Amino acid sequence: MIGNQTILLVEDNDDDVELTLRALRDGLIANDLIVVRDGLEALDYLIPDKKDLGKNEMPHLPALILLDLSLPKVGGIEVLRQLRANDRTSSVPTVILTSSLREDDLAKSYSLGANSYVRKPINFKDFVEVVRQLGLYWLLINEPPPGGGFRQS
Amino acid sequence: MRLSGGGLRFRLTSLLVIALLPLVVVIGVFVSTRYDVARREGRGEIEKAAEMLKARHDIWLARTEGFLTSLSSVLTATTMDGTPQCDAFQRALATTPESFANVVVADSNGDIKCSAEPIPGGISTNVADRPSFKAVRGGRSFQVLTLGEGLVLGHQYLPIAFPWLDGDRFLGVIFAPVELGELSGIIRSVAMPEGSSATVYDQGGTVAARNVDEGPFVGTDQSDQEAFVAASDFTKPSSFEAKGLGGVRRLYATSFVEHVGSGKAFIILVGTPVSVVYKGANQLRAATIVGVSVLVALVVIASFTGAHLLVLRPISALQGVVRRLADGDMSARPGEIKGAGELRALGVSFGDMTEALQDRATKLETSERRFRTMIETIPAATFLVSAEGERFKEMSIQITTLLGIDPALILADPQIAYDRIGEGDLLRWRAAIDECLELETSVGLDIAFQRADETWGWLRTHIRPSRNADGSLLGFQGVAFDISDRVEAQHELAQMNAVLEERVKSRTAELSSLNLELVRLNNGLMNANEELEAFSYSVSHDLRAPLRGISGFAQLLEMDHAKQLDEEGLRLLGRVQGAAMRMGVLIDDLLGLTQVGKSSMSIEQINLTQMAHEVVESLAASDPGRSVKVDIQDGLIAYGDHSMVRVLLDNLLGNAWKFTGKKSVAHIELGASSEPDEPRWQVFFLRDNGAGFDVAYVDKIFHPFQRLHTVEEFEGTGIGLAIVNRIIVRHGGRVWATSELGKGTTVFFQMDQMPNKIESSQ
Repeated sequence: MIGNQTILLVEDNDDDVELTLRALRDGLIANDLIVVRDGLEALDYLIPDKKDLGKNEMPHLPALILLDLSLPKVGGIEVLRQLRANDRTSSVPTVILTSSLREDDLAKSYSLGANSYVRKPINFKDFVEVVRQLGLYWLLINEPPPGGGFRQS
Repeated sequence: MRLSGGGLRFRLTSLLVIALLPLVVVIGVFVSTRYDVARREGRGEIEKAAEMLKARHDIWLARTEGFLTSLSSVLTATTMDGTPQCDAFQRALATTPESFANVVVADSNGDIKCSAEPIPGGISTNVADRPSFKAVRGGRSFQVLTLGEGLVLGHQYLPIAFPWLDGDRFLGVIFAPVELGELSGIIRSVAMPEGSSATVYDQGGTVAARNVDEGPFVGTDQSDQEAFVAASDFTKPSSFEAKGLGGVRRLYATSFVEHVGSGKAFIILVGTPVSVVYKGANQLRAATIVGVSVLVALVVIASFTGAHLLVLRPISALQGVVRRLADGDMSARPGEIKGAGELRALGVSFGDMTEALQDRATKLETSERRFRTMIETIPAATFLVSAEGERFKEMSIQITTLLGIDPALILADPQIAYDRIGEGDLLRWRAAIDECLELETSVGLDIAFQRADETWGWLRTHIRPSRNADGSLLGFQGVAFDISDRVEAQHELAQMNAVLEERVKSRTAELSSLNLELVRLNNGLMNANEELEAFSYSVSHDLRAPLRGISGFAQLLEMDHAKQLDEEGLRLLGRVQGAAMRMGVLIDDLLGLTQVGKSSMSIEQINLTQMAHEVVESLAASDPGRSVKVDIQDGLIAYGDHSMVRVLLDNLLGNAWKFTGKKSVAHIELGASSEPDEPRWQVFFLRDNGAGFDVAYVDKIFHPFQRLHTVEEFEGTGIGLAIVNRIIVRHGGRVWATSELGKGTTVFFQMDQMPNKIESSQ
């Protein structure tokens, strides 16, 4: 287990959610995983409306966001744009984890400030390896931004 | 024009005479100096004579005064009781010079007391009122008076009076008249120059003595005479020319005999007639005048004759030639002019000129003949319109051919021609005449004209103003061509053009409808393209997700539940995973293929040799068990998009690597063909000794999903060479292959050697 920071997975496909959970487990990454099923839900979680919540009720920000691009309601690109436009969430490490290899998806993601862009391999063993390495890198090797809004619990 | 010989002669002669003028002037000056010399010589002689005369008279006068002084002393000494003693007087007179006509003594009252000779009025005569008595009593001095007829003598004499004094006391006057002959004697005693005369005047201008011609002049009053008047004005001895006694002009010298008591007692004039003085000079002058006159006459005669012989005759000859030339005789030539000089040269030049003139006249005649022939030969009518623009002054015979009308008729009455022109064309014709006159240029006009046979034809006319040498308007020179054929051809052409235009219109309409169809089809294609893009995105994302599920869950099943499955179950599970993997590869390859068609390119120079080595290294790394001999030619260079060319080599070398997998000695070779067909497009080849394929299927291999081997033999999706083909095509090149089953395959591909931008095939 690497620390106790949370990972936010934004993924609508049940198969992928289950495979990702399994990959994290097989990769020995025991951090809390919060799963949201579409872009709107992701934004509600990360940038909640202040009228609905007291100041002390603001949730902890995740240490890593795994963001799919093809999402219902609000697409992954739009989610990334709003995260980066918001002072609170602009520095949260965000990795695009998707099946798409379209050039414009790549270009837009990087220009909006994605920290990595990873394509999901079809082979499960490969997929486990990718997820394990992402967790290792972003949660252990990489130093997070100062303050950054995600607090140790 | 007649040559004016007199004028030329006169001018030539005048020139010669003017040339003689300096000579005449020199001669004149010379003659005039001769006069000066003669005057100087004559004057010298007479001045000397005048001096001499003056000296003689001075001596005579001094002697007279001396005698009278002593007489006065004798009288004073002998006077007794105031009465002179006449006896003593007479004795004193015994020694008297004979020059005195008488000697008389008067007392202070003017009463005559003594007289040497008897006097007509007797001794008691009183002379107190006589001028001589008054002069002496007043001046108490010796007086020589003007000539007068004295009472005492009764004839003309020279009165001389002397005061009788006792100390300062005036006792009376002694009168001593002198006979004029005494003075003539003095004159004659002096030698005169040859031809000269000497005259002595008293102070009143009366001639007292003269050496020649005494008769008419002595005793006469000549005070108004020119020579005397001139002499009176002088105070010193001088010389001058004037008219003298007898009206003869003389060169005079004058001198004056002066005396204390009476001023100028005598005026002496010595004169030589000018004819004598200037005799030599006059002779010289006469001779000179004769000589110069003869010289001038000779010159005039010589120049007149010479001018005639040397100038006028040749010029007259030339003039004759000129007149013949003017009359049109071009054979006229000046004969040779004898002698040398300008006239001869003029004659030669004139001869040359006449030659040239004749030559030019001949050429002009030839040219005129050619011109006439040409005018009558060209297939056009020429004409000359009169200056007022109405009548025709000339018209060539061709008008008959053009119009069928005799030009003579039109020349006689222009209305014949105007009647055959349409009204509009006639107005334009007149406007063209005005225009060409205004612009001073040629103006063209096409005119419809009715021929004599009532058919219509077209004339093209050009007119321009024609001017005389002095610039005045001669008329309008014109030319007319028959352009009927051309006009008709133009009409036909215009009709054909109209038909053609109609056809073009209908064709254009067809084409535009076709074009619309094309646009529609193109829009359809674009829609299809967009759909394809959406589809490929769908493939890349949506198809992969379930595939990942299949693969993942199959693997989890194997990992977590292997114990519950028998051997056959595990084998089938393995096939599920394999199929899922192949489908993943297939999807990736398909995506790659569409990516190659869509992505943008950036052309740069690529080191193919180095890139091929990199690819081979990665192949060897992924398949370490293989032993493959790879030969890659050094220095392979091409221009292209770096990532696409990498994909190209990945696929080609990957294929070669794959298909040589079953050979014990695998050999792969990459190189450039040595002699490219086009220098810009280098052909590269990749040769392997792999499985090869049946050459009958060579057309298939560059299309997607075409496989010539089973997956069991060689893995693959059948997309690789399709990607290769698309990359090469996008770079503007060509790819092809040769192969032999079991022996190997060679793939050829062209790549650009120039850095030009390659058009995107999008």
